[in-house]
Amino acid sequence: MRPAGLLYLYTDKLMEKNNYFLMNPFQKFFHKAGVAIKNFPSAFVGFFAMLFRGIGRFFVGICKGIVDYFRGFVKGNALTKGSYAIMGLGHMGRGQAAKGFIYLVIEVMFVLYMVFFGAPYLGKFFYGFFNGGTVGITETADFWNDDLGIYEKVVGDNSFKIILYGILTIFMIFFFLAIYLRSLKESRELEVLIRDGKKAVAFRKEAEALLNEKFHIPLLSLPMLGLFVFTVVPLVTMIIIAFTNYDASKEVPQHLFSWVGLENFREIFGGNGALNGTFLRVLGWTLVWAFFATFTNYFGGMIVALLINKKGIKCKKLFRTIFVMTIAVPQFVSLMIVSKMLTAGDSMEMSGIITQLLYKIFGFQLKFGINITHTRIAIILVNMWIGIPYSMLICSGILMNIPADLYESARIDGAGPVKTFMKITLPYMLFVTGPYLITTFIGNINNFNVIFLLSGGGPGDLLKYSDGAKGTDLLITWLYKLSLGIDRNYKLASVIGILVFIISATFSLLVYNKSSAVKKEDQFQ
Amino acid sequence: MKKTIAIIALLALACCFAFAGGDEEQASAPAAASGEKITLTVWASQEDQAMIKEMCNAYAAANPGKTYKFLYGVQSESDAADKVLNDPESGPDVFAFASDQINKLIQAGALARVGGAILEDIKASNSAESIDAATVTIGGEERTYAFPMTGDNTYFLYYDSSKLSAEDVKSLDKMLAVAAASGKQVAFKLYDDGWYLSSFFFADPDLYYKVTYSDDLTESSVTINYDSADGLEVMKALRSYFANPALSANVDDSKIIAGIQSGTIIAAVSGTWNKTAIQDVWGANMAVTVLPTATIGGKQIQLNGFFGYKLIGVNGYSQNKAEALKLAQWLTNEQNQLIRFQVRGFGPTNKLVKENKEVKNDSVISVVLKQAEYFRTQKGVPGAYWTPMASLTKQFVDVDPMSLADSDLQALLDSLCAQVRK
Repeated sequence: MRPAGLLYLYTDKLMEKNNYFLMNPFQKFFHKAGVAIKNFPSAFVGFFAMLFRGIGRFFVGICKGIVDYFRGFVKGNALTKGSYAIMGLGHMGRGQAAKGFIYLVIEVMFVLYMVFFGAPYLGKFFYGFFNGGTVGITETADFWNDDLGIYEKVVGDNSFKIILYGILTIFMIFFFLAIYLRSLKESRELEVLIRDGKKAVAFRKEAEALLNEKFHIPLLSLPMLGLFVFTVVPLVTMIIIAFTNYDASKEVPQHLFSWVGLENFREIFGGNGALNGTFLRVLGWTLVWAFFATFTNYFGGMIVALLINKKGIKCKKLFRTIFVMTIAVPQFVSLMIVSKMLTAGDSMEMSGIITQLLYKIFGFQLKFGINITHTRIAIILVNMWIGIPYSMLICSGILMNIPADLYESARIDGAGPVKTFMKITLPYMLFVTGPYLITTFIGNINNFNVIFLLSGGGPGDLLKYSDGAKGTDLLITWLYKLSLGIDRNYKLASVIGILVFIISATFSLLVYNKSSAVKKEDQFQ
Repeated sequence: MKKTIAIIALLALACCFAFAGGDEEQASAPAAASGEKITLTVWASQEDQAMIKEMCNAYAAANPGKTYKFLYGVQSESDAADKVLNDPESGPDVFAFASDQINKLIQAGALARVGGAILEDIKASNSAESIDAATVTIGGEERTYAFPMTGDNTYFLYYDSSKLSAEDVKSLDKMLAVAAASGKQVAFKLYDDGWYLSSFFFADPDLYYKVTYSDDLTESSVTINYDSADGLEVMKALRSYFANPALSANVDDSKIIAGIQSGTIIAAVSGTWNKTAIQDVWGANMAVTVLPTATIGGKQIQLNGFFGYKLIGVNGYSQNKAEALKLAQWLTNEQNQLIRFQVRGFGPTNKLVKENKEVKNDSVISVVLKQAEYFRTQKGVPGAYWTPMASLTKQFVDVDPMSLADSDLQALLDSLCAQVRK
């Protein structure tokens, strides 16, 4: 009476629950997918509810902080009140002179930074921010110097630097604010401490604590600083560029660029029809590519690893070494050579060796770099050749770790090789490599090398693509062409970068939290 | 113990950052003059390095009052503009680039404007077209931003004179017929390359594109009429040429050379850069001539093409602008243009060098200079022109060209123009 296939999934809820363990893996997969789709609206709502709760808590925290700030001022004694203006005053007056001095030095340094560096940049940053004006005020100008007989240049504001240092200054203000509030809190606590007749902790002791129970602070401060300087600030700067009109015609410091709000997003999603269609086509191929590149490599690598690991196979190490050889050759070298081997010329003599072989053996004319579908399939196949050795290495390591007694008892119970693979090997592998699969998928969305070196994004199609995009361009290669091509379309590249980030982040967060590696973390044997 | 290791690791990390920071600083330090010594950074292509060093040394010798220090960078002219644009402020003082990049460089402020006595000198000694390639109109005023160095960035016809006669190469149809009769091919990169493909559209003087620039050199409007009835005639002609198996359109430089070596290609449209490689194979049989005529709209029409120059520019952010301008003037003067021709076989822009007997007798350069008279200077090309033009003939190679109806061709042209227009 059991209805077959997909239909079965949606027939009877009772049956669904009871029969889940009787399903074959494919039915299970579709069952899970169905449940995931059914639950999607509630999960979606749940996510945003969580987000808004978080935001709400954040604002409540800020309000509380502000109330504390003023209450502390009203209630505090003269020393505490004084440290609202002169940081560290409360410390210095209560036996923590060294710490108070450090706070004072931080305050002086911050004021100097703001006066001589921060404030001018911040002023220019916000100068045109609200009325869609230029970033910066004075433009570079050329003038004729009659004495030298040359045109000279008076360099004006640099819009890009204004954005960069403006953001840095905003961060600096927040950092300083955090330190300032902390010093006030400490000052208030000290006041209570002294009132209760206790003594303040000596500076030496606090410094020692940094090497003992608070060792994580000195240990992590440098990496955090590096993260901030090399990742956070550039990232925020690039995001901000998406809201300006920065491109070749507004190259800094010769010109000033302007704030344009959401104009660039509108261009991709609405206004210009060609750009919109191009974006969707490139995005579509990017996802298709990422899916195939990830799973062909994953399952291919697993199959190769299983074959090599099989009992009775001789020279296992030799086979593994041969596969790993492809990793030893730098990828761009092998890709360049393969792209030469695949080229299609006007005659077979002018074509690459693989194209010639395919024609001579199968009579199939490979139109690599001419026909979009041919090129896409060829790229996915070449990528298997490059990627399978990596996943084979990872898989064979994990396969060797699966307890042999599991297989033994399965064999005693009468399970065949397919059954053991489906019931033991695959679940085990997916459990361990779930997060790896996600990172590979994201990596493939941004897989610049393979596409750029094999096809360069080509072939183009005049009727379907515009703005420099071509048939096998991923978002990332298109972004490269836009930002480093002669048009230097930084603004559009930045928008695409943001979109790639959103896609990757959403996808990895959703899947990662759903993966068994996270859900059943405690169940790992 | 663990803590000690952690601290050491931390220090090592700090050192890494310190070193990384140090490198950055060195790279961005401007080449400033110290005292009497004048430091100038000069970029030239790998092949030109020895020549440029001699020229600079000769310049230093000709100016005994000053001491110069030259720093040389290796950068091909085709990439130079891109590299300078990455960071104009720390770029070289003097660099060579292809003339079609001039607008972007001016926009970035990466070129110093030329004026006064120097401008008058180069205007007097170089051909008007080459000066035009280095000049833009801003606010109704003609402004020159670079020095013409060579004028040969174009394509023409190489052919094997033992297989084709001087009469055969006058017409593309005749050439293809001869090639087809002997199972050979004529190479003309009309696939995936707007630069060569434009030669068919330029053949019809009624077909044009026109760009109007605003004062910051952004394109304020672009008109193009390739989608007219005349444009369709060109596409029809291209369709029948692509259907001809004797035409090899899906080629690049390496395929052309390979085809010439294997003997399948008996004529090829290419430029001066392939001269040595082709001469190695054909030897004395290598002959050169202007582009042939082609049948467009039932008539034989002379193919036309792009003509580009290589220019020398002075960085607008150079610390030694006055000295750099003088050096650039020297590097492009009569004496050095002649050296360029003699050493590297480059076509001159200097009027006197053009009249030089040696130059006039050179088969390749004489053809180049002849074409310079009627080819279109590669200037004021719409920025969005190249990618759609490269894709225009893709269908001809992907499927059988003759299976495409006239309406398909019109659709391609419509899409091209829609993408180029502004």
